Amino acid sequence: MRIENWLMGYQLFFWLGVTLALYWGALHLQRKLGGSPLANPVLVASAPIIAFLALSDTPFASYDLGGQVLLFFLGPATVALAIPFFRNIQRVRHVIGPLLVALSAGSLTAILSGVGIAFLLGADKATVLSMSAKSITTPIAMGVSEEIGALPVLTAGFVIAAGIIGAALGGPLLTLLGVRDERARGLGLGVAAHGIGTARAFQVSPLMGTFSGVAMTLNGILTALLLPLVWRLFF
Amino acid sequence: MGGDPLSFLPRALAFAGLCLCLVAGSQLAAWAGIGVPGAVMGLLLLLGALFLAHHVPQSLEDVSAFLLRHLNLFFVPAGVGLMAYAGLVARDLWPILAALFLSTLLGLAVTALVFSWALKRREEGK
Repeated sequence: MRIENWLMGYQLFFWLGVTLALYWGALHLQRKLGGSPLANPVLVASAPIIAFLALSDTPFASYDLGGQVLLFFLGPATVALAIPFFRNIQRVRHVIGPLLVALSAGSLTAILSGVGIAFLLGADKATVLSMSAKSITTPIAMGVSEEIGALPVLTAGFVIAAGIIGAALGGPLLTLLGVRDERARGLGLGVAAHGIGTARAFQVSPLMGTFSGVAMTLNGILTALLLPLVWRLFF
Repeated sequence: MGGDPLSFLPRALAFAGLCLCLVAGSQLAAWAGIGVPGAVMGLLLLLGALFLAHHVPQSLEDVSAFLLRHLNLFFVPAGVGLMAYAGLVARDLWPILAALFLSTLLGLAVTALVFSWALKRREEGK
């Protein structure tokens, strides 16, 4: 018996419940592993659902009845980014000049190198386009991806992967490069590894987390304002 | 929990406020036609309001903290949705991995190095 027939009108509640339970489990697992960015709750919670849907041959549309309810909250959550940003921007005001210079340089580097490498290695056009928003925070990235005609879900996947890579390898890399200033380390994590990098930065110190959080939101806003505009000018 | 059921009201209003910013932002973005996601416009509207008001109401603070703390929950459906692109990801696996690793670390290094350099230059200039 197919699960979507068996559940009848309760598919929405079933998938919502399954997702909440797996997310709760994923949070506990990550806590047990000392907050490791490798135990990303999105990956840990979605992998068993993917496996189940594939093995039971259940259509994604059934799961998506519950999924759409959760995706609805992304909009208000994006708006809510204004609140920590409002508080943190006042703490970094004294270095706003150097901050904007570094953020622009890093953001441009991340976009151009990501798109360039994927393009040169012969990736599909949809892949290249979706790569352009990979360094900005996921809710904004999905919106930008939609605006430029890329695949929002694929972009979300790239964003999460970039965040895990940056959060896991960013610290050792910056130590290797001799960057010891916590403000600079935080800013780097925020620009390249958005929310996942910011969570990592807050594990080190509030100062590093503040810079990372500001970098994440500012990078998201500036990219969202400029990328679709640049895109329209050239294509 | 428990106690006065009306104590929930300020948070419900704060959430409605976030949704209102979202709707106004989406309308503004559509009207301006500059291809900016509506949610980002909503974020800017709220930010403008906060700068005018100079303070964040406690209920808005609570609701936002909750939404942002559990942001990952709202991405799980996107993670599951990735299964539809398994073929594309398998085809482009090496370009994707190369772009993600190199570009993320390059962006991170450039940001941190430029910021250290700019901070040092400014401190020496004083």
